Amino acid sequence: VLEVLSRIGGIAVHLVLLLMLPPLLAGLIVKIKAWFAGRRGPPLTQPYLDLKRLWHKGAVYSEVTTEVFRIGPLVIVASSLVAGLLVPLAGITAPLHFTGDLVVLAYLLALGRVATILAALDTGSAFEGMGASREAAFSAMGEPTLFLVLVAIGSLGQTAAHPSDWSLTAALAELTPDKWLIYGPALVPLGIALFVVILLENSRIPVDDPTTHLELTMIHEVMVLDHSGPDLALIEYGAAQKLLVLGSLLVDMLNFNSEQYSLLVRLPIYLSGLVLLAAAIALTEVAVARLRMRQVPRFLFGAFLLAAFGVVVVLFEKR
Amino acid sequence: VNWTLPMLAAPFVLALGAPPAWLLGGRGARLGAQAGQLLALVGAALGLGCGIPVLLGNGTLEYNHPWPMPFGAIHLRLDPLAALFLVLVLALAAVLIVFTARTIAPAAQAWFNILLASLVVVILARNITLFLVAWEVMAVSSFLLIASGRLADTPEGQEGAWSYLIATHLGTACLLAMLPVLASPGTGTLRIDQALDFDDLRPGRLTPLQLNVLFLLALAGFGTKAALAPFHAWVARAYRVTPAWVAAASSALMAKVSLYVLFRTVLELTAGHAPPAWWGLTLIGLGVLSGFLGMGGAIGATRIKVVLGYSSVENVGIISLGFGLGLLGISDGAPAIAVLGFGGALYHIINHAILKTLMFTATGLVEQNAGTDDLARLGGLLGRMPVVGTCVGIGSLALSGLPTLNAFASEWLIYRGLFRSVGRLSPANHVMAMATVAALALIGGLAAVCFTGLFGIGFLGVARSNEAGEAGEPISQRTERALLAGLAVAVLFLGVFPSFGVLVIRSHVQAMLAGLKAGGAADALASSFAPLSGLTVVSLLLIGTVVVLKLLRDRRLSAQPVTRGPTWDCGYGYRAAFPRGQYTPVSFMDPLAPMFPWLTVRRERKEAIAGYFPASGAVEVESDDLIAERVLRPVFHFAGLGIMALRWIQRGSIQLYLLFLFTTLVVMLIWQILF
Repeated sequence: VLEVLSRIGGIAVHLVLLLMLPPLLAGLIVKIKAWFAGRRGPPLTQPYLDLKRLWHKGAVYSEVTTEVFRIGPLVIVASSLVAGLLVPLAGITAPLHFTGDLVVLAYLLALGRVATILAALDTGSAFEGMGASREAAFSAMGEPTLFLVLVAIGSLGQTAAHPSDWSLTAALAELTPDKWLIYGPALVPLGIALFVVILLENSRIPVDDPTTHLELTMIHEVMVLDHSGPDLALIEYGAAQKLLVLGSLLVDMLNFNSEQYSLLVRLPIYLSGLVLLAAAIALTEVAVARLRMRQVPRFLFGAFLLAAFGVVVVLFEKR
Repeated sequence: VNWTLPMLAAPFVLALGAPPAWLLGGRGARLGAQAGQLLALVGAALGLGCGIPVLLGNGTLEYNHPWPMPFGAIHLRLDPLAALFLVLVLALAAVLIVFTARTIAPAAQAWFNILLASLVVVILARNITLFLVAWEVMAVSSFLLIASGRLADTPEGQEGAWSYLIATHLGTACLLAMLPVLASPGTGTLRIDQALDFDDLRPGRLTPLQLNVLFLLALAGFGTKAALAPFHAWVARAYRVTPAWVAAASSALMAKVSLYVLFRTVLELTAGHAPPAWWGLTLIGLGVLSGFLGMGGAIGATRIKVVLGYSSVENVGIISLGFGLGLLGISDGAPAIAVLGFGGALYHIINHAILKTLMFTATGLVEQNAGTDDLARLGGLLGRMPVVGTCVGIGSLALSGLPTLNAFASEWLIYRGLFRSVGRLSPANHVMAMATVAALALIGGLAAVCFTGLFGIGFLGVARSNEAGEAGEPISQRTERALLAGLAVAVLFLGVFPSFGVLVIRSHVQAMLAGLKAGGAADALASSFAPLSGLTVVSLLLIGTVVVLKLLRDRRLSAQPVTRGPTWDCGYGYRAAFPRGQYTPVSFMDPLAPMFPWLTVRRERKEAIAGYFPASGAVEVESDDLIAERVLRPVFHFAGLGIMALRWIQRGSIQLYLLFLFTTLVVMLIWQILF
């Protein structure tokens, strides 16, 4: 009975984190960036207020658009939400875990992306077509890197105790501190590669600049130009949630979460991990400029090589 | 009930439909075509009638009768694996028959009947001569179907049909070459008056060298028809000009039957033994190559049928990869990997056959109503053709390999097999498995780009031409639309409930594990397919969340002002030029295409822009198949030079040819007497 209760409690905490935390993470990045620029920046709760404002606004739909444009934002949120159910947050066993859920995670993210791209193409606008085309191309190139990271995590989780279990939850639970001592040289490049994937997937500098004022230089923002009101709120929320989900994957890799500690210990560690991640993203954005479009593939290929290197080291260490 | 008779009757009834369609001319032509359709449906029903019981596990049907052909016998066998493909092919064929019923030309109907009859015999034939005859009939009838389109008389159309004919005969040549290999010294038992069956291709009878050569010949011969890279060069040229439903028959029926014969032959060559590891690795390698070259071709293509054709190359690659992984699992004694590989391959065959029938028939309706399948001239079709558009949308998402749809489930099995291979197979294969995962991920990413492009540019946005702007869904096509909707529902169902889908293939996977030395096959079977229910949970959660969010959003919007206006488009607000300002297939692929110069041949012609106020500017981008341009063109060029040297034989006088025949006979007679 106690176990069932703690499981239900775990799921409840997971859902609360997954549903409530994303805007805070987005706000945190803005805040840290502002600090570096010597400004005070908007309050941490600003994204919540923005979402509330958008949710209570009306909407304008283009005459050109079809049902695809209206379903797009729903699929974006649904995919990031279900993806979030697969990733353990704060070391809590994910509400949904089964063998091979790593692949499902990657393809759920792809589903959200495809929904964004199709909604953009539905407007018939050349600007949005441009963003769609760039997003499609770059994310396709990021896919192998994400998969290599997943392969590495999975094969590290492949132990005598879990011979065939390939769920994210089981694999990440195996990443104990003593594993870090052995596999550190592999986990560092893998972590960096995953960080690049996070930057790519969430349209951050140096791949994309969410704050630029010129549509010609945008990727993600130009795709959602035509969305307004509640739809835009859903898209913003889904984007923040995706950042949280992928970010948690990285934090889970780095934080030495272990079942032996109680949630009261793990939760602060997890949250400070997220703060560190936000700081890292903000620092990157402050330190470097957005790359020229033609150079993005090189950047992504670099991350791919890092991930490949990491996987090879893992494989050789395991033997 | 003895089902052997209907099994024998099925190909006959199918073929019997051809004569009326050929012979009845003038006013009776339509009637002839209808007779052909009716007999085709009856034949298909007969085939399904004996196929389904066998598929459900009620024994095996066999018929063996002497046949005075070299190595010949009328030897047919309907076992469970054959039944799976017989049912798949005939069910989809029935869809195509109904789909084309109103529009098909009588001659095309006749050849379609012949094609279906030959497909049935190809699936059932156990005798090699009988098989080769049926295979050749299939090749010729499908060639005539490909050449039956309305572009058949254009140079483009002739080139397409011609490339197909050359490819298919080169493939058959590889199969014919299998006969002398069988007869090579060492076995010695091959006699011309003795029936030669597929059952004779087994490790005990043949030397390892013979087995290896036979494997390679089968790979090239069957791979050509299945469009496995590097034997796929005909795809772009043939699919560009063929009627859409013929492309469906080629991609969904013939390619799958070719894969079936390939797998079957490979399994028979191993027959209960572990195959050499390089067989599996070769299949995986060609699978990855197919994936890349298929997607490379699709990125460069602007016609829906060509994109779909290249996507078939990619998917055949995924199937081959899965099968290769299964073989590797057997070679290395890893049951779970074998189950995931074989299971993924078989399930993907079913899924892809349904998907390609759906997509090609939908393309046929697009061609009929919008006049073209050129994406650069389409746009906005979803609004005017809601049923066809929705079906293409579902098919596109499925072909992108996205969750809740069927192709994801089978690719997921293969991914799991690969993930498992990392660290499980012999060490040299770790890196292979890792590289294959990365390659498959990139291929999947490219497929998503291709199909978001196909659907987004062709069916969303605004029409780019008048024909596309006036397209609609006439009431007369409601049967066709109902079929499309049915296929789309199947795609969704097999994706949401893959556990049901794999019930059909479970026993076949088990049979394929015969060569496994290590035990644990039963455990592996259960533990590998059980997690499929996880996909059901994810799918239902996804769909449920979308529905809930939709209710929430729509309730919110009902209380707030909702207006309609022009697309914002950064405030430009131009109207007249708007449709032409949209992204085209070429511009959509522009960030991607130059990054993979090794996947396709790309020619760009640019008019240089000069001065501050250029009066004009133009760019033209054209892509061609890599293998066709870089490999086959030079090879055929030099082969042509060599053959020209023999031109003097070809005098065009019939007496001379008769003399050649006579001389050959005399030489053979002398040979027979002397040796």
